Amino acid sequence: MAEDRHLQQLLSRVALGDREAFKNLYGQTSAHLFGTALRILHTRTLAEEAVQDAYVQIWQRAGHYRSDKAQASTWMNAIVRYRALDLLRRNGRESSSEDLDEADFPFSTGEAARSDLQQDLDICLEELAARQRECIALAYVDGYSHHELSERMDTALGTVKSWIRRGLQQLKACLER
Amino acid sequence: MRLQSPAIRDALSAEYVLGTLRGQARVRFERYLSEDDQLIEQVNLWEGLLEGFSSRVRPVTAPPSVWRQIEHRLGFTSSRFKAAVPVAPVPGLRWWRGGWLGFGIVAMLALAVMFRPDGIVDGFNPDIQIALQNKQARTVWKIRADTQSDTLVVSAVRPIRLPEGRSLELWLLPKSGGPPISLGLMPTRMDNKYVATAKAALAEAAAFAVSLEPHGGSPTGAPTGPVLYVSEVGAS
Repeated sequence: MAEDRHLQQLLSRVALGDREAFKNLYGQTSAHLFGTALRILHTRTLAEEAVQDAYVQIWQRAGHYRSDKAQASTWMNAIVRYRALDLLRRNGRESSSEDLDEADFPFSTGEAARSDLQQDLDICLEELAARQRECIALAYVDGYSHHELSERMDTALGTVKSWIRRGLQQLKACLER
Repeated sequence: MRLQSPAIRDALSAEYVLGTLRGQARVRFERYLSEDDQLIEQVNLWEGLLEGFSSRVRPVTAPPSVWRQIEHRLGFTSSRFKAAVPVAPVPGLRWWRGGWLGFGIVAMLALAVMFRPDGIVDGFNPDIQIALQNKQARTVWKIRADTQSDTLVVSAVRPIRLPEGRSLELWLLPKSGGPPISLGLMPTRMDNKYVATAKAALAEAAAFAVSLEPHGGSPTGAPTGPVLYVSEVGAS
């Protein structure tokens, strides 16, 4: 996504009802938000719905965005992720001919400028056990539930839950260092 | 109702952000969130902590129909700015709408805002007059601007009631597309006038906007809304 300072400026104009700024913001962020929704929802129609809903919310709630509390990209990501998770709850993870293969959406790697956030996170993830790390990434990026993780990892549900719970606390302790 | 235990608050916030808090538990948590600002802060903290994962997602261009649908749902027309109709009512606030009956371009950057007693401003020769009207089409504020001396005088024609602890802030939206520039607070008493003097090189105003802010104005330097009023200038 574009530089956050720039997104913040656009958001402050969107808060004042500037449609051109909104269109500009959409142009600079929608591919990332659509990619995010696709990873969670796996179907294009649902991902399109999530992105539409997200931008309607962004337009309506831009005035509530606080640049001293969060990065603009974080704020927008949260909106689309929560919307995608809502749609997941409503629709389930139904198989359909539209299903996208996971291989279509590899983690992006080797980017020249990785954000500090990502670097910090990667370092802290290294401190976790491999399966713990995998569970947390699958949950965040691909919208896996506890049950889905338990199946995928072929591990008891309770175990998966405690991996995640403890993994998150370890991550937090590491990231806040 | 409020979640009490700090450990549980933190754990639920984390799993809410991660996405593993599902079903009724998620719905319940969102209900807690709606009435617990500290819980929102906890969620914001986790959103920031886990943000690094977002850069692992490969961007995928959305089909053009998505943008068209968004425009359709928001009722966009060809005009750049949304109509001056409030998005949601704020209790205790009088609503007004109508036009800044502006003409020409008001080009000013007002960086210093001060009170003056009712009356004279030295060398002030307004060449632009704008009336802000309420929905009964009665003028609420008058704005007079002198583009020679880059001075702006805003006066309340009738008293304005605001919710406790809130202020109204006037913004200038530069044509350059840069961030809104605060022109200061709107007067709410009839015997008050705000006089703003430009200090910097002048930028052209694409529009003015008025937003409802915490007392004393936006804490962030950008509008935190809601926006009560937007008007495009230079349309004539």
